[in-house]
Amino acid sequence: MIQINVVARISEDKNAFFDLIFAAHQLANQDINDVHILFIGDILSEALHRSMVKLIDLFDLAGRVKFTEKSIRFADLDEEVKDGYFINFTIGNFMGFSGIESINMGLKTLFYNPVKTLSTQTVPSPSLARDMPSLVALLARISNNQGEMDKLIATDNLKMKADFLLMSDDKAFLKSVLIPTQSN
Amino acid sequence: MNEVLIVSDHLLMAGAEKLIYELAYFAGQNNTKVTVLIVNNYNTEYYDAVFKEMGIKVVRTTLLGTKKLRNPVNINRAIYWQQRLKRFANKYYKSVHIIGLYNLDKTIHGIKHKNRFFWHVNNAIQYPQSIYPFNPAHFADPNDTVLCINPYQLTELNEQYGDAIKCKIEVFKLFLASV
Repeated sequence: MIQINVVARISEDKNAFFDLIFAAHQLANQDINDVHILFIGDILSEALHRSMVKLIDLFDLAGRVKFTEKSIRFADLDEEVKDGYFINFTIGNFMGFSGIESINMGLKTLFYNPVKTLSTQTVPSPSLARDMPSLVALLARISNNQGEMDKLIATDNLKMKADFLLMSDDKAFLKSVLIPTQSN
Repeated sequence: MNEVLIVSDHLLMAGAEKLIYELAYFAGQNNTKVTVLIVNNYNTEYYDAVFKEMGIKVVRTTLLGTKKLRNPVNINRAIYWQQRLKRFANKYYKSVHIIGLYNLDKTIHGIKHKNRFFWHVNNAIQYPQSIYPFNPAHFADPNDTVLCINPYQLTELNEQYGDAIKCKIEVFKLFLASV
């Protein structure tokens, strides 16, 4: 079983949850039925939750896409869940702190850009899918060859972490922002 | 010792707050004292304890008058900080950092400083019809700087606000100073 986790509250300012349900449906159409998705977080919008459940039902995915329906501390997650893949949404190639914190915790971390207008300019990598077809392909690759993909993802995640570190130019810029030279 | 002011509206366990933490951490590494000012929110939140541990002062107050306040301690604190930041901010702080353009309505008129930096931490897609709700007048002062954390934001701001932007805009990456 391939365990895909989404750590997020189910609230209406998030607009990429349906993408994951659709990806699971696309995989099922390719006879890939071992990918399970777990949404980990409180239900802040009942309306959104109901719509997601309706779509899951329409796609006949009820056994494979589930909700914890509440926030759960990482330490309290099942080992099988912790050992899964944690997917984060990007904007193009931009990833926020949640993704880098996931990598910092040593989790297998995947990234997906749900913004269609940015898909062609998003540079893909072994753990980053630039659009829906790439996401489906990435999950299919993991399903077909998990061991190999885990190595590629681990290497890619480390490279992404390095991008967040401050180089000497970055430090100089930040210093100039904190203590501007014209300040006196 | 140099001192800077970082202003926001929450200290939850979330991305904007993580940016405050990393900025404060970097400041500490560079011998710069930080005060964190949280506006219009008197709750105790995740990073309050973290900053206390780091020796960083967190002030919770409002810069929008005192009419909505009932607690005398909060009223006195608001009067003090409103005067301090409107009249003497340049004297106390080398720079002022407002986290989130969504916080400008609550803060920009209450803080007079020659080095104001507005950290932009959202993208247009997070708003209905991908349109930012920010007042264009907030970008009118050439002394201010908007700091974007990704290049898409720069494009989005220029496309939506165009000539209304008179302040400086720069892009800087999200960073980890604490690892």
